[in-house]
Amino acid sequence: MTTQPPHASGANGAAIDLQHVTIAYHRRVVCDDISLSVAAGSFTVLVGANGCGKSTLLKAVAGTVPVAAGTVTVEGRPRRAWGRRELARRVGLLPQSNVAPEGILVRDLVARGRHPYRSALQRWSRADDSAVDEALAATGLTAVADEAVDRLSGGQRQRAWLAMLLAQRSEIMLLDEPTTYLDIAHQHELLELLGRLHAEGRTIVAVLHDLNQAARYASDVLVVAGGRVVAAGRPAEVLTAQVVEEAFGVRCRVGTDPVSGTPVFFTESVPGAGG
Amino acid sequence: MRLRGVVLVAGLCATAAGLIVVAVSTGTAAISWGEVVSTLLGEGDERSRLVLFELRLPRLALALVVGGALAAAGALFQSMTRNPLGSPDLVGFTTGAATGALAALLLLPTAVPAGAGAVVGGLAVAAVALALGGTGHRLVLVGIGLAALLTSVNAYLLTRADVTEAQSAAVWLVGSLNGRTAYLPMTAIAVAVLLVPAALLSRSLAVMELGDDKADSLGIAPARMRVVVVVVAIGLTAAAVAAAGPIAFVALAAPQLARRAARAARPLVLTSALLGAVLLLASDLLAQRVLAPQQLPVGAATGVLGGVYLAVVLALNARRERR
Repeated sequence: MTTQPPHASGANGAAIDLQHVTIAYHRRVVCDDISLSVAAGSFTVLVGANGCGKSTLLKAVAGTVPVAAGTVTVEGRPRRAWGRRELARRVGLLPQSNVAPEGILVRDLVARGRHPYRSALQRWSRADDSAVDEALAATGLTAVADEAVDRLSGGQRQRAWLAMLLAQRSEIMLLDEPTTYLDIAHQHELLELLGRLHAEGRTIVAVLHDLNQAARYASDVLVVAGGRVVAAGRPAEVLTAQVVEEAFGVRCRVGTDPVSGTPVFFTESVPGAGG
Repeated sequence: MRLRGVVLVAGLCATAAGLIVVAVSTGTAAISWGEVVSTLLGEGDERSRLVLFELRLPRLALALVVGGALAAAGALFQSMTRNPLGSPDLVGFTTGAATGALAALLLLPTAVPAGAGAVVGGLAVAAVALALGGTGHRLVLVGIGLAALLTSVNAYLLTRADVTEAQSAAVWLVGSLNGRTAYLPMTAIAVAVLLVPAALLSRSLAVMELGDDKADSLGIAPARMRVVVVVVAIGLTAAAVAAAGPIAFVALAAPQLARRAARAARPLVLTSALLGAVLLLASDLLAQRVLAPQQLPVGAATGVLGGVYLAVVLALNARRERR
């Protein structure tokens, strides 16, 4: 990749900052009075039980769900003060499930990431071309650029969506369960790729379900339960048996990953599961 | 534009030119080639001038304009609903426009133009369908229900009218270009004006096909964009319906044929309009000439073509799913 612009961030070095945010979705309160902060240049992983509002939080930052109360600040500026396209150039979102239009080619899908840079009449530019080429190269999809997305393997398909996010050139990348439909080989491949992007200086915020992967790849972890953040910090400090029991209602023991030296979790018992 | 797209557009232009030659030089009044050329150059006799400038040319122009408008509206709606069946004629907007136009023709004072009724009818159906169905599949299903409902309303309106009015309204309801050329100037202007925003919307629609969250995070406001798309597409549909009645299947088939032929994974609004124009002109020629001197309403011809098209599409999809 070419040189990255320096991080723009708020006074406290946060790329994203939420203060007392309440989000109601279809008249149901999903997040109630939540406050959190994501450091610029971090690889922050959100973990928490299903339905606790992790996806909604990402959408609130990307601007796709309205915030009922509180403030969302992106790079030190209130979200409301950002123009739509302007925000899209800084913050990209990969939703949980994505459906590509029938027959679309990989290159064309990736090219749609350039939308925030183009007005209705503007022609495709050389800058657009190089952004797409770089995104394809970074995700290892150059060889299949002219194939239909429906023909790709699950892992390649997810990388194509990620490439679209890279073509968007957003410094902050929000990823909602990017590994969910992938086998373990492709999960690690994708996480390694995210690790590289993080090392290059991007801010990555991802929802992951696998605590062991979160412990291994994240620089920071946010544990969400019941619509609020119950723990935040370095994975080794935050991810403890106690926190996991609080967030998931699962008792477990903690070991050490022989490969990375990070914590690994072994479930012991689930209350109410008869064990 | 990719090579395939360019070849498609060139082929369509050539086909249109060929059809125009046929439309101008054939028909019940026998006019020779030489006479056609000399009349077009301003030298023909009274009779040839009448046939060409009052009958054949306006009619073929109306066919092109109406076909283009229907197809462009179809491309917009299908892309917005992310559904090849989400075209205005299947989801009730065309029927609603027809109901509005019929009401204006049969119930309201003659000062109210059918076009105004068509716009109001189409928008009313769109508003109900969007409110009840949201977007995507549900909108299509709600729209199909509304279309069925409005078809009976249209039938009821016909029974209320006196016989001669009902007779002409019934022909109009099938969709016909017979004796409708008085509408040509108004329709042509409306369609030309509306095709500009329609073409400009295609880029945003391509992004919206990725889903609302994705579109939103790429700098598009999906809800607002849908309102704009609906207004433009209803405008195009209403202009076509007010002129020629609810002609079936052009809006359904043309955008899909264009997309498949160009192998494009995005809405091709202008290419669809060109294909729709060619499709309707060909259908009208077929309807006029095949059973001549009987004049079949063009809506009957597109209905037959469209039925065959729909059966083929469904059969191909079924085969692909079985594999």
